[in-house]
Amino acid sequence: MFTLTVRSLLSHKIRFALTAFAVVLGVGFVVGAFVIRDGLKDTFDGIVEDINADLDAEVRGATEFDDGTGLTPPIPEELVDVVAGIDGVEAATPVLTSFSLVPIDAEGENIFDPNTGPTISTNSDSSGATDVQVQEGAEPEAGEFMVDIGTLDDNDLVIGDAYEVITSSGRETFTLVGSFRFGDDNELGGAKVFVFELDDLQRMMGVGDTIQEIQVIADDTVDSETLLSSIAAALPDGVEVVSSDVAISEDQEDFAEIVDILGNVLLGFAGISLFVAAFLINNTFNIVLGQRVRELALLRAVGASARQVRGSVLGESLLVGVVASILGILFGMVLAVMLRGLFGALGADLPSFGLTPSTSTILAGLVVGIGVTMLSSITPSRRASTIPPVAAMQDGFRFGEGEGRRRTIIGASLLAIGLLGMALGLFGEYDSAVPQLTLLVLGALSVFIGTTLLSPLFSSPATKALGAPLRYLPWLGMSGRLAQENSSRNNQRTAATAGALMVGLALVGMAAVTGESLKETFRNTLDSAIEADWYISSESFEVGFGTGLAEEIDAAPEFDRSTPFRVGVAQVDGESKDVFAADLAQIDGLIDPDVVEGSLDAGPGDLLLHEDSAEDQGVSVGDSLTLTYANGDTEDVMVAAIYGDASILGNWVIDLSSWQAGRFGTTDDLFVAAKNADGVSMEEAQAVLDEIATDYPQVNVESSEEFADSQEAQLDTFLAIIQGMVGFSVLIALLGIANTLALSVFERTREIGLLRAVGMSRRQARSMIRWEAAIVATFGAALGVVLGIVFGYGVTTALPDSFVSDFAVPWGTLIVYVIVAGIAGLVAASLPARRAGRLNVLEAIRSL
Amino acid sequence: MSQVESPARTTIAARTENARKIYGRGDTEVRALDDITIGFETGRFTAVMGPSGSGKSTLMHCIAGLDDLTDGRVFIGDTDLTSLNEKQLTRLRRDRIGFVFQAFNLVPTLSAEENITLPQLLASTKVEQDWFEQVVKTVGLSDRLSHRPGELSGGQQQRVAVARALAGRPDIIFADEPTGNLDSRTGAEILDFMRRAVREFGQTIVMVTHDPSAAAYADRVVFLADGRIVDEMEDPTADRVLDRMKAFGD
Repeated sequence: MFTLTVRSLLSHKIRFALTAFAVVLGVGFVVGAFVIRDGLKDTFDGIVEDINADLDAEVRGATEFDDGTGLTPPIPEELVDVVAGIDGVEAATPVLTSFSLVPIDAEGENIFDPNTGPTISTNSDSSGATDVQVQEGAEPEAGEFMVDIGTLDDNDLVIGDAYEVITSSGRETFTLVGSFRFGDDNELGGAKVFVFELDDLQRMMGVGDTIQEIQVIADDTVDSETLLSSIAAALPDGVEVVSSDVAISEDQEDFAEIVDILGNVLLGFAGISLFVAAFLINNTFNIVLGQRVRELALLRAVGASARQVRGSVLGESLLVGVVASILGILFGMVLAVMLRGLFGALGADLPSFGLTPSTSTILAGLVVGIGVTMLSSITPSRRASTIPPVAAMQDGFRFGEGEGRRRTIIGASLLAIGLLGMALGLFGEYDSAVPQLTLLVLGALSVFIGTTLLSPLFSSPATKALGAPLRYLPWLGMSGRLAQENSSRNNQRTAATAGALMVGLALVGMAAVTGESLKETFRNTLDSAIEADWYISSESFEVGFGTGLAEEIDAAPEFDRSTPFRVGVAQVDGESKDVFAADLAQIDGLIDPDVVEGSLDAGPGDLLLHEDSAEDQGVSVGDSLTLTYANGDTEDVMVAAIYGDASILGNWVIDLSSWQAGRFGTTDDLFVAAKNADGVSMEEAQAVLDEIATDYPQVNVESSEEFADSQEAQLDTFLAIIQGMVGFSVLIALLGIANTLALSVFERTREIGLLRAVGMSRRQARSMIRWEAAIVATFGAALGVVLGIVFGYGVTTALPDSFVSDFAVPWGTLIVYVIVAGIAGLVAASLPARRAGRLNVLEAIRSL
Repeated sequence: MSQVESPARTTIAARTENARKIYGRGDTEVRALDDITIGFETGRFTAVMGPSGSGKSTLMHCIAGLDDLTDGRVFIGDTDLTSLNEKQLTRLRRDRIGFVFQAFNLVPTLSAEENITLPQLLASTKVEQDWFEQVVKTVGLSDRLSHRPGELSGGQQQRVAVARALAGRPDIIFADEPTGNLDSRTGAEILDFMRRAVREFGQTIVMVTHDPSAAAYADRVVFLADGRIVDEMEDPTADRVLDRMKAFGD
């Protein structure tokens, strides 16, 4: 039986290739995602290890909790000498780092690009604790700096020249005295690194005589535990010492979190692709089975059992699975190279991380590829076993007599269960995201399968209706009519083919609906919430800007009021909260957060709270809450106002006076809101702001309208990325359409031969196939968009009102999607259409 | 006796000149058509007979523009098929030739009416309504026009095929074993329609068959063996044809 299976596959190479293709793509995406993730992780781990090459311990400000910035409270510089004097310490090196200092190149352009990576300024280090190796010139002294070799080349910097640096308190000039290489390959993951002398750095950052941490190198005269405890004994309260292992693994975990998010996103889309691939495999096996009825019936007639026939179909799928998975793994490696290139093209200068899949990645690829193929062939193999021996002798055997009812019942049940699962996932209360996501994903899968099982009920009338206009296209004539009929002749096949496209379009549609609702909400709240004339914000969300900008704006007479905003993490009863800080006295007149209780007349020691959070905490205006900051400080704040619109302020707002050194990882501002003084025109204000902002290259000066536009543009970019990734699954679905049509062309050889014999031109044959594809694609896309609207409605309803309160459907966009899908179907079917056109009429006729 | 006679007053609807069709080379060379020169007069019903492998189907395919010759020429009317490209051949088949095959004559997704007018629909030309109705009436399909092939019996399907061949008033109709899949009574019905089309409408029909009783409906029978014309017979009867066939067998 097995030999027969192999022979059967080999004798139908095209069929084999078409079935395998979907698996190859799906497995490729999974493997690509793993390879990228592992590669990035290895690279970042390597960077962290390079940074801490010879480090034995780290002294730093103690934190009560992780505030997400990865930064610790500053410690006094004099501790360096204390630590250096401890027995067993060979060297103690102070470390200070800033992300907001920006050098300017010879052309006056700042060396900063929020898209590639951070601009890191740190102090010089002669201890050798890190893997910084001077390449040219020397370590910087006062008034000097050096730069990593990558940044030196990229920005055409010249050693010996003087460059300006923008600091939190103005500009200073430094002489570039050297360049360095970081680790073996200067792998900085896109970051630009500048090294200054410590005193210069402290002055530019305005941090006085504090540093961030002390790196300790041991002389190995005492064991590490003794060393750690004797250092700890010498440290004041609020300062701790950790071993290098702890420091390294903490840093690696921080990176791992980011890389995991990226990896999971890629895997999510790989999963979607695989799911779509499963549809195709199932469909292909079913179609092929229809073409092999006689062959399989003959096997039954000469004595094969139903079991053996089923086994041969499963065996065939196993072979397809194995071969396709291996090809898929290779494709995944190619994909990883391409993705890395794409990142590079986008400016993120990723190091040349390894692209060899790990053993577990290869195993995952095999398991997933073979598993999906086998699962997809369960129903075809069951059907195969129902072929009676007599079908070898007579025509007209049809699969699934009586299957229809069962199909409908199963489909309806799956649809109902799926919708219920999604509803539970969206609206239930959960402690973690895992059960919620599981319910959502399984629910969506169930909805997709259920809809596909049900769609044969209406696919014929639907495709007939969709194809009806083709009859009136004069240049199509009979081809359009035949395309319409062909698309509705096999409702199950049409449903399955369209189902694959439905999945992708449902996700794209959901993203579009959610995005449109977000935008609508955003537009409405911005209109009502923004009273400020100007928004000055950082181009890169992670990196803010020095406090000097807000002070200059505050001092300028052109502005009536202004406040900077910072964001950090504080804890209330052990729970971390994202907290905004602003000059509360200035809020009124800049932001209208829709106060429901109390008033915006607030100041130091006050708290503004969103109504949801107020409810959670069970507080009302006049009550006090105790905030705990990262360095352990606590502060009682009084609720001055409770508001309803969190679109700009978030849920918690404290006064800037609470933002004291050490309580938060950063002292940078994230954005500044300002309102013009009476009689000052927008043009005058703009001129002043532009002047002030020249020293802050990382900021954008935007009027409130421009701000609204750019926020919408950001949302659009985000949506475009999602749609691009879902696009992969759409691509697979389109290949599926091409695949189905190729098989249909093969199946209809005699019919197409007849049409050609009685006078259908090649061109007409081609357009007949293409338009059939267009109809099926349009059907699938329309179905998907309808599901997308339903999903989108669920998502927008489930999201908190502070985030989305309006439900809006971007009809125009959705219609465009459907039309584009139809056109894509038209294009995708080019190959099978060519095959139909090239069909050898005589051979087709001879088989008549 | 093997001379082709063409009465001076009749015109030739289709003919071949020294037609050769050779498959393979050297030892495996097969001469499917070996120097055949033959004409089919307008308004006559000709049957082409011969044992399987005699080249009768190949001859029909080559004259109908479905296959090309290795050597020699083929004419439909005055048109030399060997000078036409693929596109021109397709149009010629659509506009000037009618086909009736043994089976799978119809497009399953189209109604009987659409199948009958398929060549005109493909050409986007108007169907002559009077003629269409006359043809439909002749083959007795008036009440079946909206049915799909799947809803018609085998005999009805072949009648639709004959109607399609007639509907475009082609120069010539080629029928390849048109009754091969039918029982004898239904087959006789189809053959009768074909003969009436020749008698009443002046249609030219060439039919390939191996059934002597089918050949008896023709005006003339041409016998092929090993790619050559070996004999022909005017006004055949089934018995005479059968005798002739037996003679070849000996």
